[in-house]
Amino acid sequence: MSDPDYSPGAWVVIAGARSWLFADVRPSDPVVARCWDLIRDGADVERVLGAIADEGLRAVRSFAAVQHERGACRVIVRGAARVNVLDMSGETCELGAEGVATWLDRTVDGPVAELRLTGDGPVEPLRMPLAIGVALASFVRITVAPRSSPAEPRVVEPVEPLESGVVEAVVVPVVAPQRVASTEPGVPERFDHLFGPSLLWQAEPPLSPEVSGATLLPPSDEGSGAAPAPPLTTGSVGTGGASAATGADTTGDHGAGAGVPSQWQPPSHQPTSPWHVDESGIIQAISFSDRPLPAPAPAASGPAASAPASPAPPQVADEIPQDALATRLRSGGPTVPAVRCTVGHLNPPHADTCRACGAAVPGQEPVLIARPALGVLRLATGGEPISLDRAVILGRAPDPAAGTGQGRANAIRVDSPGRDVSRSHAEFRPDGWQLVVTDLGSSNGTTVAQPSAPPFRLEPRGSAVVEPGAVVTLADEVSFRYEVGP
Amino acid sequence: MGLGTAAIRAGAASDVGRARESNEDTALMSSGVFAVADGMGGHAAGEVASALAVARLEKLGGRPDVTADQVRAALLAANADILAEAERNPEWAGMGTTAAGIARVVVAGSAHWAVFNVGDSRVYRFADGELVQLTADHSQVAELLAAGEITPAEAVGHPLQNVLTRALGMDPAPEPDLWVFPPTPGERFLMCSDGLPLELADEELAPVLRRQADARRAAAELVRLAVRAGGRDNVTAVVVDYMPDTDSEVDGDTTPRPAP
Repeated sequence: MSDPDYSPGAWVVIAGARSWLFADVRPSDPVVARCWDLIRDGADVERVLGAIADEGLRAVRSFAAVQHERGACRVIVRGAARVNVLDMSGETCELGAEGVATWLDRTVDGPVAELRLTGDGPVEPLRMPLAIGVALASFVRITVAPRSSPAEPRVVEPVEPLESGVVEAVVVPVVAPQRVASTEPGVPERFDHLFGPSLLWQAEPPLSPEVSGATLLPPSDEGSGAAPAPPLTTGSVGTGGASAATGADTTGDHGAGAGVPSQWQPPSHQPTSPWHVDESGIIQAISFSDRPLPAPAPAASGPAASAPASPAPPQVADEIPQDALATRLRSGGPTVPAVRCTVGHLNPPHADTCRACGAAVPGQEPVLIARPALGVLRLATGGEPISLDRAVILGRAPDPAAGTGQGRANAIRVDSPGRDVSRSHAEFRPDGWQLVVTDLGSSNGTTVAQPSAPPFRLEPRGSAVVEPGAVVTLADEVSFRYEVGP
Repeated sequence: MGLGTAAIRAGAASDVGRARESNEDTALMSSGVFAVADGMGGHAAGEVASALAVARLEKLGGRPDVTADQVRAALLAANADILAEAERNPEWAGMGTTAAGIARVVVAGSAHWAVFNVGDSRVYRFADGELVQLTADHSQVAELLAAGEITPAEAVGHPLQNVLTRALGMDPAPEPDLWVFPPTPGERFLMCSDGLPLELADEELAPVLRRQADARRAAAELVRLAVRAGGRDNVTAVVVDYMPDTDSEVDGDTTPRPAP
């Protein structure tokens, strides 16, 4: 397409090779720089939209974002911005967003000749060219001509046939079928035999015009033995049918019949078999036995609190995804003010020493962040630590709804051979930077031992703030330590 | 102590629908991981993105000691895979996918379900005749609704219906929703791409899940109904049954003891 041109004005126009943003925003607003980075790098208009949404729609009340690619135009309009779309015959279609609380998002198909973007100010008669860059404008015209020009470096024809690219991208290894050794009750369990191969499938384009609905493939055939499966490939360009269904049956106690591999056939272009799924289906079983599983290797993740306080690399700061805050703010999720220690760990605003490594926390202005996991609960008998990124309800058969607060709590089953632990026994809930333990009316009580203090028993349904290093014991039987590590 | 080796039965169905030219959904039924991924992006990119996501999740299958952190890591690895693939193939720039499902994980030494979600595909749980949506949609409409800025009536057909606030393929990486809970024998899960709830209300899903005991038939019927009701998008459903345990005592009464 040819270079756009614009008339000077008060709105900001950001022009890229494939997308444009025309917005009523101060040029110094950080969202301008962010959108320019995205547009310059050829990002989708969707990402630009994401940047604006993250900034808060109040910051950018009116904008038009446009992307043109291969004949179709995506137009997003909000507030006072308007977009006129001209097709080859000179017909125009005006897109505006009056009365729309958020924005209008429209894809215009068919050959588009020109896009005209206007705001709420008067349009100067002067026209100036703009290839790629940022300018202050009252009007933007984007001419979409089917000629190649240096202004569209981002439009790259596929070097290889699409098909090969697709297949290469999604080759999936097959899990080798495994034989069932024994599933008799009472035999010490190992679980690996229970896990057969897996099945992965994807539908095929294109759709036949008359859709008859999902068809059912033949049921799995358990008797076909354990032949080695070929590499799985998915994704194809073919003329498959429209729909498919398949299934997987399992029973954990039928012994050696398990382990029939499923196969993911390369696409065959047979219109009758759109899913290319082998008829043998899959056999699989999963044990949710009450027995403890073989203890996982210790220290697989989550360093203990006693880990040396060696200076961590500064990428600690990167552990909080930048958009997590925006996500939390939008969703009403938990946020906390935070400062950083000299190593970079996050801490409550008034901390003198780091809760994770003990390093000094220099004076600084706190910033609001999406609350990180406060630490972990580590079971005294070993096993994977439980992350404290949200409330946790512990019990023998915990009810996720048994907690004291709002928001979804993790419900974690605690092994209690003597059934001393109640079904929903205790809750650990992050509250700001603090961790609160609450007894949920357990039969046999909850005991809290703060570091270097004698243990005390919570009142039934009572709560206490627990310090890092505290040990909480359910029914005098199962103990968890609250650990905060770097 | 009950041993209770229980079984999983699963079935899946998918349909391109009436309006779309290609099916960008990918489903996964693996040993211990069940998921739906709904890809987006032109030039077949959506299919690539959803398959990349499922490929990462698929690697979790068949392992007895998967942790919730590893499920989260798999989703973030899928995010990186999609970005890297888009980098290599500029025509796939901007591709992305949802991912929602359940995985069997080990927490505190025992097996749990981890429900995970990025985007607007959904996981429902059907138990005791009641259908509950376990995941929260990461869409602009859902967040406006949750914030009270629009009413449920305004949400229907809202122009922001398709704008996701989180998806795999984003930079910086999205924060996956993930939570764990213990399995309950007899429960049934439904994972679906948004093409299913687009056509069928929750009240229409529940009777099918109640009536069709066979997971495959339930998935197929749900998809068929959604296509018949309009099929405006790709429709994919995975139904997972955690079969009743034969010998479990976990729900028995707590043994009371005199307090010390």
